[in-house]
Amino acid sequence: MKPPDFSAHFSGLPPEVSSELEDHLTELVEAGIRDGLTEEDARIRALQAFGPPQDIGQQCVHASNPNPPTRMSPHLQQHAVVFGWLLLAIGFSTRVCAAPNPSFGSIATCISLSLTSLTLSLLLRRATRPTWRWGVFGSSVLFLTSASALLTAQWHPWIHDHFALSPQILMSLGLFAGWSGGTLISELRQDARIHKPQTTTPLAHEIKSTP
Amino acid sequence: MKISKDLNAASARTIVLEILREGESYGYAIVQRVKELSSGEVEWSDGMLYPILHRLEAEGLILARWDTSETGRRRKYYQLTAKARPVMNHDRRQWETVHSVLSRLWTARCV
Repeated sequence: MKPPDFSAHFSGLPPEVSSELEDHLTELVEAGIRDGLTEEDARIRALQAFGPPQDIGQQCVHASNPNPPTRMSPHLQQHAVVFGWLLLAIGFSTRVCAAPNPSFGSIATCISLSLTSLTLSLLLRRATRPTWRWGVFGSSVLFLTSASALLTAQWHPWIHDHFALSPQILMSLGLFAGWSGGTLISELRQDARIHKPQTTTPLAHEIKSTP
Repeated sequence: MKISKDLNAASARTIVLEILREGESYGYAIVQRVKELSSGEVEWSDGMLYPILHRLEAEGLILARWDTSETGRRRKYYQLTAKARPVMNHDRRQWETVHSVLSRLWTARCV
């Protein structure tokens, strides 16, 4: 007898996981055939007894590797982001205090950036997973906007005189923003992959069509 | 009488480890052994076993190896590691304590 093919149910899973689960499903089909079922009925019964293969496969992947070793721990990331925002807040505040005869617009811009930085750092420090990730995402966007604004402002005479940032600092700010946003997006993508609803898999169709 | 979902979830890990104490085994055989031991009263969906096995493997309590089965298919076999013994002894003491408390309560109620 040709072994039943369940590969459509395991797309995207590591071969080790899919091989193991397929072996189990094949055993169930063979048991069904021994009980007198047709191959197709045995296949449907096997899938019902087993549960959603794609979900189970993803759970196996997650169980095998709950904290991928290549990633920085979420708490360390959180602390790094908070620290970065605090540095930015302190930097803006000291520059405003130190600048002679700043314009009203410059003071307002710098104070709002400082307050935003401080508020975000406090909010992120208090937040817990997974909600803090969205905070990081929001703050990364703001951070990039602020860094872009400062970069653009390099050409404004007053800001250039008093707030000019060295290319090294600008590069560090950009790297920090890119890193925090990037890690967040990759974590969210991984979560979406693991918790992806399986309503459109062949299994759902087969179970619905079972008498 | 069927065992509730919550109790199944709470006991599955201990049951899997105790079955592996009997010797090396694989997923399908473990599920069959559970059905046999419980006379069909403990009903696991077959797939629920695998995340448990993978978690136990990640925790270093069981060790997996690939081999060829009698049917010629590749199969993953699991066995206990030395690290599992103290964990299992601890689990056993916990379940015995729960069992003992409930037994006393039920005995007292019968008198």
